[in-house]
Amino acid sequence: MFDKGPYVWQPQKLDMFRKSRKAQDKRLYVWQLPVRLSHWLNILTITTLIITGYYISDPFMHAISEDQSIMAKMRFIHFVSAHILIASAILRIYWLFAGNKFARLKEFFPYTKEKRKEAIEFIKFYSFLKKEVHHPIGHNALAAISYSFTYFMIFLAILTGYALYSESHTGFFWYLAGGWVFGIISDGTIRLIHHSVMWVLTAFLIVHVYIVWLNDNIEGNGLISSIFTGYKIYHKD
Amino acid sequence: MPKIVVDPITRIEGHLRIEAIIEGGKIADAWSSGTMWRGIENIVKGRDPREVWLFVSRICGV
Amino acid sequence: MGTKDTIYEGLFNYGITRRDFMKFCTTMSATLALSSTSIPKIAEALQQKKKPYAVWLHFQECTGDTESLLRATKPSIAQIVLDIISLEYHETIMAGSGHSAEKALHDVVKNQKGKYFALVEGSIPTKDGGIYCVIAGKTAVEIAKEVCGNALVTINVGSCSCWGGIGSAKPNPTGATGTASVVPGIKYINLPGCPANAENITATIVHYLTFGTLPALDRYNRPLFAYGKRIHDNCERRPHFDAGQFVRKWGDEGHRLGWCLYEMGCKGPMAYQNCPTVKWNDGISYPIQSGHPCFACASNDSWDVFGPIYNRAPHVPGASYQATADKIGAAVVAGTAAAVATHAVIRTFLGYKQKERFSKEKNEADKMK
Repeated sequence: MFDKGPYVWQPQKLDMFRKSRKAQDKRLYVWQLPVRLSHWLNILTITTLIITGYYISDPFMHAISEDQSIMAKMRFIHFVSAHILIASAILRIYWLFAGNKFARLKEFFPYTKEKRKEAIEFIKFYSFLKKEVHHPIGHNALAAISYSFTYFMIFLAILTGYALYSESHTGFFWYLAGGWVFGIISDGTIRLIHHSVMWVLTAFLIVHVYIVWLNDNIEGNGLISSIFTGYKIYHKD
Repeated sequence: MPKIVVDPITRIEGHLRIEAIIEGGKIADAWSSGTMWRGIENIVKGRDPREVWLFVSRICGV
Repeated sequence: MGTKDTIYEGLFNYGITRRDFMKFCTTMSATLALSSTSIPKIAEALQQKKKPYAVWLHFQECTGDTESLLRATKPSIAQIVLDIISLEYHETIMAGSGHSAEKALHDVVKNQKGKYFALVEGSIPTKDGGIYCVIAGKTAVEIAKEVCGNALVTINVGSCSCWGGIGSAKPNPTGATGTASVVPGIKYINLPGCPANAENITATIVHYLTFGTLPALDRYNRPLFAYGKRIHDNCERRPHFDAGQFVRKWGDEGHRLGWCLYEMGCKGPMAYQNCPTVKWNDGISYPIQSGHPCFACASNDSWDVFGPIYNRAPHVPGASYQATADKIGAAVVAGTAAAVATHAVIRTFLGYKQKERFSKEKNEADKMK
């Protein structure tokens, strides 16, 4: 079955990631496994959370008989996804300290003056004021700001989510996880924040996917494939 | 001309003050004041019309 | 009013039998979520204690809480309340008016200083020197400071005296607020609700008479026995919520079958009160059972923060009532998608400096191996 014939696995044809490389291209290992794992867990859980979360706020499917349990199932999936998202967050926060230089906090905050200049360069680039821009190996400064903003949004959603969770799940643990928030802001405001973050993350999803595709298309640095394999390709220029 | 003031008027809803001037055993002049205001007409401005009944019904609970 | 016999004797003279009295003590014990060992304690306390003095203050109110208390058809809870406490001052039901009414109030404050209950109904205006509520020439602020400041305990009956209620809804023209912010430092308990439930008022008083302390309170000073559980968790329509059966329009099939009112804007998931268990009008019904969504009347978010009562989506502060979080959010996402599409189109024409992507020949690096 595995000898020569139409079903032989031909590695060269499937090895798309190596096809575009020239002799002087460098293949750099940028994104370590925990970073990529956390990214994919985030995508899966956040998409699920957005869909189930939207259903919880506005049930778009109605049950016909009492034997069904659509809302209950949606809530269950929502809660399970939320716990998985927290696990991903814990992993990523740990990796902020344990990972290589591309996993560090520096990649999310443009500390230096050069980095801030770089952010402005990228804004000009995306507004068609510049024809090209130099891409650093890790996150560029504008991406760094947008990712830290997104992580802050996710943090808000998790905090308000666990605050709401503590309404029906009593106990000191859930009070610690989010119940204490009721002492600062009210129930209505917590729900508003939790709901609004859903929309912000949806908008971010659209922008993020487009920009990543755009940069990969222009630079040819294997940006999209790098979130799968971890390797970025750099031309000597 | 003795003036009498009855404040609060009880066994009503809300707060009422009655002042009257008595002349020769008859009331010559009288004033009534409602001494409480919340501004519910102002509060309902700009709200969803479907919920206005909820607000204005709280004008009087009797 | 003002007799000096014990509570039990007062009830007996009123015609309440021993059997009814014990039934009342049992009901109170259940409402307070106490074990059955407390029933004899309650009975003993009410039998031995002298009727405590109480005054009922009306500020910026609609008298709904008084009406709630008086809404009893049987000689049971509410009427017993009126004979368990010696209610010296109550503007809606007292016989005297004008000077004699004020004298009754002053007598209690002076002679029973530190020993009387102060029940407060209605918010207190603070703007413009508090002139939006003046009784007998004194502002509500002054009356509250004098009467509540000298009371044994202040019981805030109804949302208005707890946190300002409807008078404090935007734009709060009179600066209406609750008793606790006007008279700091007093011992008080909040019994919010619009109106408050008579059963909860009675149970709080009985608790204090029996045990000498206020019942366990939550972070908003509301008794846990009445405001500790969410309406959503005790609602009889909850199975319909979990199934996904929702009323969509008033009077539709689902409404007739008693389905969940979530889509009609029910604030049950945010409301904390014992309406589903204790109910209203001597346990007949409550809004959800009657087919109208709850609007969380005991919460200080109910008038402004939760948004229009028939909206499910949260209300965005500063936006008009028609702009819910869903509408604004969808507009933001649509705008983003449009911006991204525009960018993609412009990019095709204006273009960026394209870096060389694919080498036309086969992989040079591999060739070199």
